[in-house]
Amino acid sequence: MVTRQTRAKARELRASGLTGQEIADLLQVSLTSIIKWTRDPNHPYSVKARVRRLQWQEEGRKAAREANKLHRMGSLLYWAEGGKSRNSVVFGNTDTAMMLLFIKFLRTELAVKDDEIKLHIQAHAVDPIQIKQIEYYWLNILILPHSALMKTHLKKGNHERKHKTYENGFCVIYVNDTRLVQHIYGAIQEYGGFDNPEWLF
Amino acid sequence: MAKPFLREEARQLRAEGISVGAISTRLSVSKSSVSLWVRDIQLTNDQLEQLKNNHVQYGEQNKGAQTNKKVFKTLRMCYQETGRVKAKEGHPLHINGCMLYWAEGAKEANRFYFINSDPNMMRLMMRFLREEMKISDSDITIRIHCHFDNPVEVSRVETYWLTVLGLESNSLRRTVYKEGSENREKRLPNGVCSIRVKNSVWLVQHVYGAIQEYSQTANSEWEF
Repeated sequence: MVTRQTRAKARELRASGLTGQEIADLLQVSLTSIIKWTRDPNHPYSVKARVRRLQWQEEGRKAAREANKLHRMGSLLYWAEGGKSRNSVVFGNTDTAMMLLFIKFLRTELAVKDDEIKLHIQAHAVDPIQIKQIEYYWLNILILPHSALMKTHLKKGNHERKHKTYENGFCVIYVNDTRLVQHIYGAIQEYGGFDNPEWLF
Repeated sequence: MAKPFLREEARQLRAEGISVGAISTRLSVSKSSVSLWVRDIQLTNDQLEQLKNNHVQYGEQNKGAQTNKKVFKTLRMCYQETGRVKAKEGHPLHINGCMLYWAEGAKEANRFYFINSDPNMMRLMMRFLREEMKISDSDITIRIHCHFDNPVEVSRVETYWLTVLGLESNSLRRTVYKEGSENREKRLPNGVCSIRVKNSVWLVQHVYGAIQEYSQTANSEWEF
């Protein structure tokens, strides 16, 4: 199990000059984790990336000041329902109207192309036909090609009851673009009239 | 099993098509027991018709309730209409409040109930209520849900939210302690805060109307 000690140890080893892969082999954890734990926030690359993200947030603020209704609505919905990830836009909901509004926001306000959007559907279903139906429901509603679909996640639990409540499952939009998500963070702060230091990552 | 003989008798009587109330008086057992015993017995259509005719006021008792239901539904629709009209003006703060409520608010028919742990979001919501909807502070109550029951911590959190939202301590409801992992406690150091507004049918329906106008859709689930 990974404990606080493991992380501290990894940092120690990194400081002593071992490479990431060597530490990963030594501690029996994945390289990705090692990279995450031993990241130096003051490393020139990190600083550069942070500055870039700030610039993108500033772009978002600027766009927010021009006060467009759709831009405002999309950003605020993202504040509430979106994932707070640093590098990708993650927005999930069961409400069709909300998903429609959000994808409209992505397409018209942020000029996202269809091939950049990925859909991840989560459903309470066991029947393959039912699963296909749910997948096509979302593809039709959001007007996306079949290639946008990621592997549908089948949720555990009482399928019959949950399927009744969430007939069309739960749909998540992914756009892997740091610039977009930072733009949205900037816009939210401008619309809400506050600064959130947590979003400086 | 309690009262096996009475139970048998009740079932026989029911099969003959006698009402639950009549059986209960005849055998001096409570109505609920009789109902429990006989509910699986299928009556024929003739017997059901007979029962209906016995009951002079059948359907009348319910009528008032149905009328009220209709009246209040119309009223709620009127409130939604005012929301739609207001939404056409497209005031920025109004959009903010409605979008946040769409995402995080409780979708109840008769009260405005918004809950979140983000102080910035809660502050914005309060601004929406005060400036846009002209709600006075005395109509707003808040409740804090937290994952710790240490009294010192709890009072710290209470003052925290009262200062964040700029409310007096009399609008604070009893804080609720939630069972949960230590992880939650760390992730939500200030707990979760919920805002309720008294007598807020009009307010919440106004918001529903506005949301539908903004998103250009009609949501049949909000026709309560």
